[in-house]
Amino acid sequence: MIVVPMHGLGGARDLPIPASLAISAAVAALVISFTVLIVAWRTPRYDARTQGRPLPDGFAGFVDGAPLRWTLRLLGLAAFGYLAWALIAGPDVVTNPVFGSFYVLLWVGIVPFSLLLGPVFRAISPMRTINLLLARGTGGNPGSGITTYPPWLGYWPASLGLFAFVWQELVNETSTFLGSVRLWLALYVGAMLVGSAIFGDTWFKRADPFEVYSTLIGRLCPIGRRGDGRLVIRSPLANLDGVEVAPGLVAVMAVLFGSTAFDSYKDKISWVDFVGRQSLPPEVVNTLGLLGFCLGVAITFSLAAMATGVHIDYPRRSLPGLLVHSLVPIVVGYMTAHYLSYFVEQGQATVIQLSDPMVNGANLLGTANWSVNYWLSGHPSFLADAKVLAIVLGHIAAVIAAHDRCLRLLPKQHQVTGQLGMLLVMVFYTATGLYLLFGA
Amino acid sequence: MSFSTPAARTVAAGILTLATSLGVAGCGSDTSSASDTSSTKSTSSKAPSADASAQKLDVAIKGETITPTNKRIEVNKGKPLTITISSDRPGELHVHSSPEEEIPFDKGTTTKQVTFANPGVVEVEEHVSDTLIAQLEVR
Repeated sequence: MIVVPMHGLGGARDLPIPASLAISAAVAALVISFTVLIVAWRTPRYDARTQGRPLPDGFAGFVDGAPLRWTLRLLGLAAFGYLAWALIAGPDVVTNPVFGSFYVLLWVGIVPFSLLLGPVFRAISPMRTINLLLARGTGGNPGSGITTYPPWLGYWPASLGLFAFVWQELVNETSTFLGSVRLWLALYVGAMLVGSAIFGDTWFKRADPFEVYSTLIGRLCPIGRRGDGRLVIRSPLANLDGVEVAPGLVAVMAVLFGSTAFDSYKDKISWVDFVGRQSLPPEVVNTLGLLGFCLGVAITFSLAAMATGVHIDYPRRSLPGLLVHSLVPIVVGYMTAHYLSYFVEQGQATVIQLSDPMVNGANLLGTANWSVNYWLSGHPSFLADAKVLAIVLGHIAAVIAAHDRCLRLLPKQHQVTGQLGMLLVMVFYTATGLYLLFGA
Repeated sequence: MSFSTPAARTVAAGILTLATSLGVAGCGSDTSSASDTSSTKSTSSKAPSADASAQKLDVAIKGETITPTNKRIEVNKGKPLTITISSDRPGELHVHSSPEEEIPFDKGTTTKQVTFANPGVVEVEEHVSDTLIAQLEVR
């Protein structure tokens, strides 16, 4: 019998939230949504191209200046090199810091770091730096490749890359074996370097799953860039208005959202029982489950976005892509609710492990003797409140963002009724999120 | 960033509603939540949490057949849980607490006491057959 670990990383998981909390939050979300619809403004308020108070020139110059940019690139490259060393030469045990770095610090970390710092992955992306160095070294231009990136391809490669990651994290039974992570990263590096050689660095903007994820979440940072390139400070919702729409954006959001929901669902006894009773192998059933959740989000969102009277300038089929940016706050809420304690506690464990990449008792970075602080786990009431607050705040931001965009997209007579579909689907997502946090 | 009056009203109304509902439901949820969640699943068997010093988990293993499987059990933190394994083959029990514990066992009866320091959901699996025995809700 093949011995496969049942688990990814991490020890205990969070307790379910109390039913009363889940229900109150769902009711609050419902009430607030309808309040926004009825009471909120009637002309669009958010415009990422023009809004915002410019940051002082000195600060903006520092942020965009070559010294900071090159420092960040080199730090990203150094981190990549360190982890590659642990990946290639390190032992195949769960305490190898590669696993925590890959599944926790990178994947979950993208959310808080991008909320704070904007599209931060782009600034440190080791693949971008390698492409840049190769291009400079051969006297070429990193922005151009053999051909230009076809617009119709849009974000589809990133959606595939993101699905490949969540499959690896949630379904792959060998996810905590070193060989599996080596294979995944080798394929990622290959795809990034070959793609950027062919299409130039636009490839990263549309096909690097981590960069696309970080750039989307970074749209909720209060600091953004106006259409003229100036760094400004403004409402995160004004920043969110600037998400670049391209084919495949709905697929990207569906994978991000559906996978987080599936992650919550797959540990429930009812699902584990169901998987055990099927004749198909568990990996196949879980793959279908993951796919089902992602498709479910894509379909319900698209139908809700299109269930409206249509403006002559915005054909029905374009509506889902033009509205899906409003799911970004919901994704942030779900990710926070689901991964907060995991990030804080398993993240600390990973920082400790990073000092000992060969798992031989070394203390290279000085963190090996630290211990994990389990304060969050020790305060389940606070944790439950924080999770619910994150989901409800994400919901409110999403409803407001969708409302504002609908004011631009919908004809005058449909501006209230045309939003009902979106509103109901968002309440459904939030209620599902709360149910997943609660159910046994 | 400027807020017009209707927007400010909406946000204020929302925050008030949220704060009220969380205040009513969220505080003091620890003591009432045990009964809330245990009533949802009929297959969960309660450990005798009233008699806090006698928490037990009995596992019977015959080859690939393990009893119990996929159970949801409530456990108190800070108090020992006695795990008794009666098996006809060697194997390993993995207890996914933070940090994790492993209980190797041989043919016959093995007993181990574990105590959980932090609340959470701890999965107990039999490692060789890759079977989920129980999810322990530690409160």
